[in-house]
Order: sequence, then C-alpha cells, then structure tokens
Amino acid sequence: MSDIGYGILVLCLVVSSYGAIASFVGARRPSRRWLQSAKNALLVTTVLVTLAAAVLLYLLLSHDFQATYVYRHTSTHLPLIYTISAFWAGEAGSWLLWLWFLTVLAAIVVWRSERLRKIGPYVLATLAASEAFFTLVLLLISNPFETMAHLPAEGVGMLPLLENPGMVIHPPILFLGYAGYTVPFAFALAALISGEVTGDWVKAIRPWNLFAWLSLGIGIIIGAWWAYVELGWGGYWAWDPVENASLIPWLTGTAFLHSAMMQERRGMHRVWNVVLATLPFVLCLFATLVTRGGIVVSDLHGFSSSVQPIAYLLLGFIAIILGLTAFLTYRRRLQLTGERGMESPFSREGAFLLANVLLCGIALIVFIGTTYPSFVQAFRGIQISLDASFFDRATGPLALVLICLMGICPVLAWRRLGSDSLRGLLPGAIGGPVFAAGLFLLGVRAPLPLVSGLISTFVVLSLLSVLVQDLMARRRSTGEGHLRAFVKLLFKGHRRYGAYVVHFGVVLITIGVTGSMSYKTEQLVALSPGESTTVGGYELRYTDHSMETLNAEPETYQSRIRLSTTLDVYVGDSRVATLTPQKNFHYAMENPWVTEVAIRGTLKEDLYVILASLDEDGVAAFQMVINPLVTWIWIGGGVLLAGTAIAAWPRRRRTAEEG
Amino acid sequence: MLSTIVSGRLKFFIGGAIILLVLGWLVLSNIQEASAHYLTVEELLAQGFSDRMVRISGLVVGETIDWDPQQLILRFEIADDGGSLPVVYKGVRPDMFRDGAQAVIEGKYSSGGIFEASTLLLKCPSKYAEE
Repeated sequence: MSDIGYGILVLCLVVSSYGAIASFVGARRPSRRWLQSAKNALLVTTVLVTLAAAVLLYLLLSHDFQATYVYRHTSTHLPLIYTISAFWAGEAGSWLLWLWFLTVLAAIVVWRSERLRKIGPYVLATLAASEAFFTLVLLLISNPFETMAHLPAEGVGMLPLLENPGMVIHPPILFLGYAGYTVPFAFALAALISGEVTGDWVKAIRPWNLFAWLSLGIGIIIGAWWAYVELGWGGYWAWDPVENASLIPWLTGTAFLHSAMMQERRGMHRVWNVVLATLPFVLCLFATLVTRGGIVVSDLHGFSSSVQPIAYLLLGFIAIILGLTAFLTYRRRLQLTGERGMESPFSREGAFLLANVLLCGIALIVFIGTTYPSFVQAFRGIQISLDASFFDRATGPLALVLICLMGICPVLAWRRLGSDSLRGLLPGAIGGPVFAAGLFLLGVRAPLPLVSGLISTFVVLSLLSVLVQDLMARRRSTGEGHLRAFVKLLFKGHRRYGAYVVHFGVVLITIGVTGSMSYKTEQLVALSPGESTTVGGYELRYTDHSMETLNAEPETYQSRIRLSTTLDVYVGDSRVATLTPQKNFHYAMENPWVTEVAIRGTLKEDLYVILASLDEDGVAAFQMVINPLVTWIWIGGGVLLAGTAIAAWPRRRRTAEEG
Repeated sequence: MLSTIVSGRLKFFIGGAIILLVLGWLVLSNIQEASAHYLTVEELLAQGFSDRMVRISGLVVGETIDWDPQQLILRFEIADDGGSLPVVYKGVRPDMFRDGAQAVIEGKYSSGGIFEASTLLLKCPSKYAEE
C-alpha cells in the first residue's frame, strides 16, 4: 500500500511539471489545445494527491505500523479522531496536507479560469510549478510512505500534547491559509509575466485573498487557544518563533487586503501590491523554514540544532521566487508606474497607506526579533536570547495607533478631508476619553488599560456612528422602516460593513489581550485534602485526589499514570464549578510529565488551575491564575470570522455581470 | 501647480522618514534591553557575586534535585563544561524538569554562593519540533 502512495506522488510530480510547461506553452503560442491539456493536468494532480491522501489515511486507520509515519505518530490506544488527526501530527503528513489543499484550490482556479483571460495561463503555470515543488519535497525529503523492514507490533504513539481538539483543527486551517496564499502570489506573478498589471488581477484575487487571510488568522487564534488550554503555563501567546512565523505572513496579508482595495478603487500602489501579494506566500515558506529548517534559534523549542536539508530546498525556492518577482517588476516598471498620486494625506487613501505602513512595520519588527538571536549567533558567535517583552514594547505602540486608525478611517472620505468627516469623529472623540476617565475613577491607574480602553471605545463609537449616519441617510432617501433599511444597507454595502464587523472583532481581541496582560494574577499554594484557599473572589476546596494507570499494555506514548485532583469552586456560599486539574506521567516518553489544566471561564475572567505536583499522601501544589477577559479573545475570533464571511459573500449573479 | 505636487511629494517623504525613524527607534531602544546574554557557569564563577540579572544555560544534575512540594521550593545544580552551580528557585517544578534536561535560568548570583533563579525555562525535546 505504501508503495502505491509513493508511486502516486511520483506520477503527480510528472503531471504537475507537465502542467506547468503546457500552460506556459499554451500562453505563449497562444494555443487553446495546450491550455486545455494543462487544465486537465492540474485536475489530474488533484485526483492523484487526493488518492495519495486517501492511502495515508487508510494506512493510519488500519494501523499499518510497517509504515514509518504510522509507527511514529500513532498507537492502537489512540481514539479514532486522533488517529485521523495523526495525518498532520508529523512533518511528512503536514506537507501532504498542504499539497492536497493546494491541488484542491488549483482545481477551483481552473474551474473559474475562463474569466481570467490573458493572465489565466500564467496563473495555472505558477500553481502547477508550486505543486511540483511540494511534491518534490515529499519525494526527496519528507516521504510519508516510507516503510520499515520489519512489522512492529505497536506504534510509538502520538505526542500527548497533540491529543487535543485544538490540534485536530489548528494545523489544517493554518495550512489552508498557507496553501491559500499561493493563489494571490500566482496571480501577481502572472500579471507581471503577461504585463496586465493595471487592475484586473487585483479584482480577481479578492475572494482568494480574503479566504487565505481568514484561514491563517483563524488558524493563529486556534493555535493560541491550544497553547492556552494544553501547554499549561497560563498564557496564550509567548512570542515564540513558531507563533511569530505564522503571524508575520498574516500581518503582510492584512496589509495586502488594504492596499489591494486602493488599487481596485483608485488605481494606486501597483508596485507595492505586486510585492505584497508575493510576501505572504514567501513568508509562509519562511515559517516552514523556521519550524523545520533548524535555522532559527528558539528558547522554548529545542529545534533540530543543525541546518536540515529541507532548509536548502526552501531557501532555493524562496530565492527563485524573490529573484523572479524582482526581475519582472523591473522589466514591467513602465506599466507599473504612472499611477495616480495621492491628493491629501488626510483622506481615506492616506489612512489606508498609514495602516499599510504600520502593518508592514509590525511584521518587520516581529521578523527582526525572531531572527535576531540567530544573526547574533552566526556573526558574533555568542548565544543570546530575546525576551518576549521586546515584542510587546516594540510592536505595542504601533498596534495601538493602528487600532485607532480603524476608528478614523471609516469616517474619512476618499480623496480629501471634508467637514462631514470631522463630525463623524465626534462621538468617539468624546466617548473614548469619557470611558477612560470612568476607568480612572474606578481605580484603574495603569497606562495600558486606560489607553486601550480609550481607543477601543473610540473605534466602536466611530463605527456605530457611521452605521447610524448611513442608516438615517438611507431612510431619508427611500422612506423604508428601520429594520428593512438596515438589512438593505448591509446587503448593498456588505464589503464595507463586513470590514467594520472584522474591525469590531479586532477591538474585542484587543480588550481581551489588554485585560490579561495588565491584570493577570497568580498564586502558588500547597494544599492537603480537605483544605481550602481563596484566589481572587473564589474559594477553592480541595476535596479529592486519585491516581490511575491508563493504556498500560502495550507501552506507547498514550500509556500514562494519571494524577487527578478535584477542587470545588465557591463564590460566596454557592458552588459554581468543580475543577479537575490533572497531571499525566507518560512513562514511555523521554519527557514524561504533561499537565492538563482546568479552566473555569466567564466573560469577566478565567480561573486557570494548574496541578504542579501531587504526593502520595495527597498533598498537592497548585498554581492558580486569574486571567481577566481572555474569553473576549476567542469571541473576537468568532466575530472576525463572521465579518469576513459578510465581506466575502458573493454578489448576486446579476449585479456581478453588470459590474 | 508644480510646486503643489512637489510639496505634496515632500510631505509624504517626510512622513515616510518619520515612520522609519520611529520604527528604528522602537527596535533599537528595546532590543538591547531585552536581549540577555548567556553566561557559562565558569564565566559566572569568575565574575563573582553581583546584583545583576544574568542568564545561564546548562544541564540539570539529577541527584541534586530537591523539591519541597509544601513550600514549593526547588533546589538543584546546573552544570556545563566549566563546572556546576547550586540553584534555588521558588515556584512550580516544570513538567520537563529531570536529570539531564537542558534548562535556562535567569536570576542573581548574590552573596551566599547560591544562584537565586527568578525564572526557570526548560527547552522542549527535539521531538516536539516534529509537530
């Protein structure tokens, strides 16, 4: 079975390479027959990779431990859901998943390619070439279908940290984003090759762009949630290289969403858009280089300390992409220039440009911080590490200005400043300081919550006042009722209002981050059974403890001794929750201890309890953390999802044809 | 007409320059402060006692681990090629804390000959990188 999988991948390399060449020939001649053949080739790769994925899934589900990948990442103790998610628990499977997403997205591009006219063939050529690259990685370096000479009776098992719902969905969504960003890049490159750089490609790219951006963003948020509930250190974001690596492409992708709109609406920033369409894709490759390449030094993750073969392949691919883009941009410089200038910096264009610069600035700072220790080590030979506070301090001020812009931008008109705009700012400009003053009177003295509260209120009020103004204007002109006018307004301006909803989601995330950064408190206590302690406004009674062995035979990563404690949580006299913080001793593993935290979350705060140790006589040490407002981050993620869905909603066919 | 275009351009150049300066300042003013140099045990012993925060990386010596779960005090020795150093840390014993684990400690080596660690980080095993 494994041989079949490998054979399919070899075939896929041949077909995707052919597809790249055929699309290119089809574009040059131009020949419809070649082009049709190239499209067929791309559809065939989709079928092939789907088959390969099915083979890997079959190997996993049938517990075929002769396959190295199955042996290393699963055991018979694993529940079905984690046997499936083992598909992306390892490196080779992750690459296969990435490739599979890419071929599916490529098939959708093929299906819609009639509309693309001149750039279409080059888009397909780029996609086919990328598919060939990923297939090559699978064949040369990270083969999921490797087999062993003997058949082991049992697998090693999955890393217990990955046995978490977050890890079932986080990697696929993240890889969907990674694969998704191949499409904007393919369009940008195609626009450069064909010389059609003025506007159409940016318009055609919008749904792809939103899709990739949303997937990556939701992937990052779910990753943070996983870290929060599974890693058990009380936080959700540590500015670790792995986290940063996926944040950087998302930031540049956010910048691209905004600058693409400027080209669509006002014909501006042509060169900049080509760069920004390429950057997220290149940075997704860079992210893989960080996690797999052994180049970036990390404090927390002891990555492979030597440079891996995959690093050279990735660096080569990145160099080709950047070189090609730079060369073509230079060749097309005449078509790319001659764009419209900006009339006034105090206009929506100006605000968009500033947002762009800030987003790229933050991305650059995170990039510098992530790679700085490696550079110091490479050039000065000394080992240093960069404290997470660097990122907070260096990006924080920029992020606050950026959030502020989200409140200013909607009220600004295109082209120049009008007096209407200033009136729109008024509610926020009054409400923000009033809210901050209220916080101050309530006893808040720390600068971050005050500033953040001011800005958040300002943004929300600005968004609301714009919405109310639009609504009243519509009612005046059409005479519709409130609800009807509101729904119609949302439908007609779904792109704009969807964006406002997204911005509102970002404000919610800001509130959550601010709260947990400023008012996180923690406490260490040792308790004997029957004793209780108070944390924040809670009283915790330690009632029970137990020890049991799970999955004892045969011995795999899933074999564990589970130390479990039970705490009753009281607020006043009423019991509000029962928490069971646990600790697992996975005795087959080199690092056997894995903590399972217990969380009681409300909109106000999370009570986060970590079992630090449990003795045989029942004496347990707990680390108790109060994390205010963390839930708002996850709610904000949901709002972000909803807003993007509204913005990306396809327009009705009729209007689409008219436009 | 020309002058307005030029002054318009100039505005944007000045704006761009200001933003670049701010970016540079944000990075440079924070990067020195936030980057901690690692010392080897030997270097630390050579420096002697001081109230400066330093960061040391080394391996945990198994037989020296002394964990008091009642008081939540962890005593151990950390070793590298240049020798070993007694450490005291108040807090939770990390999951990966065991003999031979690679640990990073940050704290002060003030008088008394015991390193008072305020943070204790352990490097994840390389297997985690497979994730």
